[in-house]
Amino acid sequence: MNRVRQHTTSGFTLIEMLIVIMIVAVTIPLLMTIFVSVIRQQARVLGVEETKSQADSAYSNIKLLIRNRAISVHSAYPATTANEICAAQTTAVSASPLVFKDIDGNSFYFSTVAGSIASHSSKLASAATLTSSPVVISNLTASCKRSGAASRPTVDISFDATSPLIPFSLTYQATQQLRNR
Amino acid sequence: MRVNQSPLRQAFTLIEVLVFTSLLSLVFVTTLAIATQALRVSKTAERRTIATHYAGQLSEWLLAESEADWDTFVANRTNSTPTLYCFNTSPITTWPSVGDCTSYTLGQVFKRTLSITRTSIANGQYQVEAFVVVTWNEGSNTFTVPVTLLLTRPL
Repeated sequence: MNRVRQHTTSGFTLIEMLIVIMIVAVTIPLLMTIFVSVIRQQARVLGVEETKSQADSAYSNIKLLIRNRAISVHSAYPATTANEICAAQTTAVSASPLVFKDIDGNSFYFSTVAGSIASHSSKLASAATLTSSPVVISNLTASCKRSGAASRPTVDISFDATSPLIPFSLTYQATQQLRNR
Repeated sequence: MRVNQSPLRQAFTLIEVLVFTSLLSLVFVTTLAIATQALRVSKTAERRTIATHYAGQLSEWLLAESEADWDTFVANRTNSTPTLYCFNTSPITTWPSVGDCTSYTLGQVFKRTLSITRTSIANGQYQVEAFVVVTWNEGSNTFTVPVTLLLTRPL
């Protein structure tokens, strides 16, 4: 006798498939959400670190240049005796840009150009940018004051640094006395 | 008697299905735990960077204050007992009232405290010790970025 056993060739039942699809439908979006959050957060950390790194560097450069090179403060470019400010005792005087004369007689100042801090100098062919994309610098302000006739001029400079990756800005404020006066 | 058996007859046993499901669950749970931990560590790193900026901002401001008028700066300090100030604003414009911070309002997350005192040194001069601490909370954990400054009369 030749018996052929009849096997059912049916696959998963509808209920089994629905359960599997439900589990996958819950698990995959959950995992994707968490991974996207991790990637976003990582990008945000990189944005903060990049912003701080570039802004710290620009801040140090500005302070060093003013402290070590500047001998007088001026309200216009190029620096001349006629536009010198803070030559005598005074409260804060703002200028845009605040121009400095250096020990070699050159004029230099800082401004924002296309979201970067640029250092302009009469001895440079073009401005040197102190920060670069994606870091964006805004609200660059500068003023000088002098507490007494015998004291040196003090310069206040502030700016905000941010990046498209972070929803806030870091505020930098520098107060620097001219050491070469 | 011949029985024809197709090679595709064999299904998974209950044990096999259970082992597979357990392994899959383990992988999912581990992945989730690692991802969550990575998220937490990353958030802490971000806040630490910002807190370092805030601590540096106050340190620079104190340095500028001491250089601007050292005698007034020292006269406003007290010997031995540290005075606490809460610098929960950015940018810093002036000295706040004496007192510790009661809330985390700096950048909506941090509080920035200054503890400052002066010590008499040689020739009637003083040195000023400033201790800046930026603090924030994450869940039940409290994190700090401390900076210590020792200020003397500028040259």
